[in-house]
Amino acid sequence: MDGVSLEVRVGEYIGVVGPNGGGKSTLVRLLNGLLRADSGRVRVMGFDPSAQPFEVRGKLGVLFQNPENGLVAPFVEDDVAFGLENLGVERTEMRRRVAEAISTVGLSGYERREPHTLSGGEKQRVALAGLLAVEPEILVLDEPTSMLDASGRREVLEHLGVLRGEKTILHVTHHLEELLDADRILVLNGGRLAADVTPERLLSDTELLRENRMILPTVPRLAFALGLLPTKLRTPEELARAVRERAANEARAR
Amino acid sequence: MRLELRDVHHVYSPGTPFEVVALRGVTLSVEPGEVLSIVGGTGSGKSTLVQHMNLLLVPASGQVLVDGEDARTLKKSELRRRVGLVFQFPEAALFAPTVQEDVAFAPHRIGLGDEEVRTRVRQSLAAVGAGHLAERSPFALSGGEKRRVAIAGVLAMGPEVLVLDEPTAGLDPATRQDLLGLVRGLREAGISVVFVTHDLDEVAEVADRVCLMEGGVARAVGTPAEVFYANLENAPATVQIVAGLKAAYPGVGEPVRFEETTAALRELLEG
Ligand SMILES: Nc1ncnc2c1ncn2[C@@H]1O[C@H](COP(=O)(O)OP(=O)(O)OP(=O)(O)O)[C@@H](O)[C@H]1O
Ligand SMILES: Nc1ncnc2c1ncn2[C@@H]1O[C@H](COP(=O)(O)OP(=O)(O)OP(=O)(O)O)[C@@H](O)[C@H]1O
Ligand SMILES: [Mg+2]
Ligand SMILES: [Mg+2]
Repeated sequence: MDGVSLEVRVGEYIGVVGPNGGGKSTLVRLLNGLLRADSGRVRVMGFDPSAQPFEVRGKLGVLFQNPENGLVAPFVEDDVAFGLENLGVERTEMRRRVAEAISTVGLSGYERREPHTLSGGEKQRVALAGLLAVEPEILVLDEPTSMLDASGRREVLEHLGVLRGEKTILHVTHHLEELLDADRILVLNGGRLAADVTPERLLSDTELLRENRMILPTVPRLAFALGLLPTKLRTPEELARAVRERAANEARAR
Repeated sequence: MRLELRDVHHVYSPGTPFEVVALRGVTLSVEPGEVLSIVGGTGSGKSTLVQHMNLLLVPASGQVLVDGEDARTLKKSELRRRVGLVFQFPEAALFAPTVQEDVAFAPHRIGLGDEEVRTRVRQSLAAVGAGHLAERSPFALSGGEKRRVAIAGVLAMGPEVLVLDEPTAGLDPATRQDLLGLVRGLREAGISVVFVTHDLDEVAEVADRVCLMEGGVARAVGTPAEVFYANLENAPATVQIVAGLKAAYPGVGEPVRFEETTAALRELLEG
């Protein structure tokens, strides 16, 4: 991190992007107190994460980048309960939240499976359930969908949509298409904050994308290549409809 | 090399309460110099399948053949050199004090000379855009940097078949594109690549053939156009867009790659 200043307000949905090694995970570790800034100041709801980690971790929950590293308990259900145990949540309440989180990520029936025997996407879902069970006010997700299939990805994004507004969310990803609804996107490159912009701005700034090793997602890229308005078209269905309408207009004009 | 799996079954922890039947009879070949993509949902058996390709996992029943011979007749070390596998979570296997020593380890162990090893280490790190990391500790890297180093480690062995399990997960978009370029280059050089991924847009760009896994069976195997147009819920954005136009414009064809699709849609718009 090289002189980064930023502020996130309660209830915002913030995307974090940038090249490999840009500093995204470092930012995450600074926020939950795993790292201490050499200079400068980090505050989470008024607390200094490196000096008061317990105060912060009850409020700010993190899903770490590599889902393998986080899994520690013998069974899936213990793993999901792990964060709650540390917070001293009462037993029946804990069981309720664990069951709910496991069902939210679509892993009902996996409670007594051993985490290390799960597939990559299943591990990532367990890690996400562990974060959801804690119900923190601030969710920090470091590449939460990197190992998920298309439907898993969609479910996670829909769930984040449900939490939106009620929670503050920081979502690190290499998939720009996941951030089209974000309030702001932070671009970290070389430890610096290269940009703090709306999704529309980022998607229409070819230079900014290129400098930060990003590429337009397929649908807007194709829309752009066809001379259609890329930022208005997100899904394949929307683009197909726009092409149909344009083709019909041009046929009429001829 | 031609690699063949014949009616492969796999059961984890058989006879215990944890028993999981992960493969239920998969027959599949990897042709010399082709890019074969394996796609399919979470837990469908992709990682299990590819670990049979160098017998890291042994089938409960069925066979793995290398150029028509039972793979079990080959020495394990030879099989693993010829069929190189990058795991879904390769970070765990990094161990040496520096990145270049990590990448050099396996080539050294198969008895290559110092000069040859140095060349291969340099070339493989450069191929994944990790030349600048050579002197670093592999433990003190970002997620995407670790992944690049792990891929370089297997590339340096010079495999005839390169098996990549979700190699692009965690890579930034430009590096993802570079990796696809690398895969095309390997194909040009006659090396087969097996590419497991959830990113169907990537598959559209590089695959010669696609195998769609579901519940431990190969539900469809064929060219990208064959598999994707018959399985729209598992298709890349390009195919989904065109599928939404086929009813009104049957002449649009079945493009898959981005450039092909752009050309087909331009033609359609121009009437
Ligand atoms: N433990 C460590 N010790 C030393 N340097 C590190 C360590 N972890 C990360 N770095 C370096 O710090 C920089 C930022 O790493 P960080 O993990 O924050 O990147 P990132 O943006 O999360 O990248 P990725 O997209 O690959 O996950 C990189 O140059 C990386 O090599
Ligand atoms: N070591 C193991 N012991 C028991 N079951 C396992 C083991 N490894 C995988 N499985 C199970 O086998 C099935 C197939 O797993 P596999 O890892 O092959 O899936 P995958 O298609 O690679 O999924 P993903 O996309 O999530 O990586 C899953 O249901 C998984 O839970
Ligand atoms: Mg990271
Ligand atoms: Mg897998």
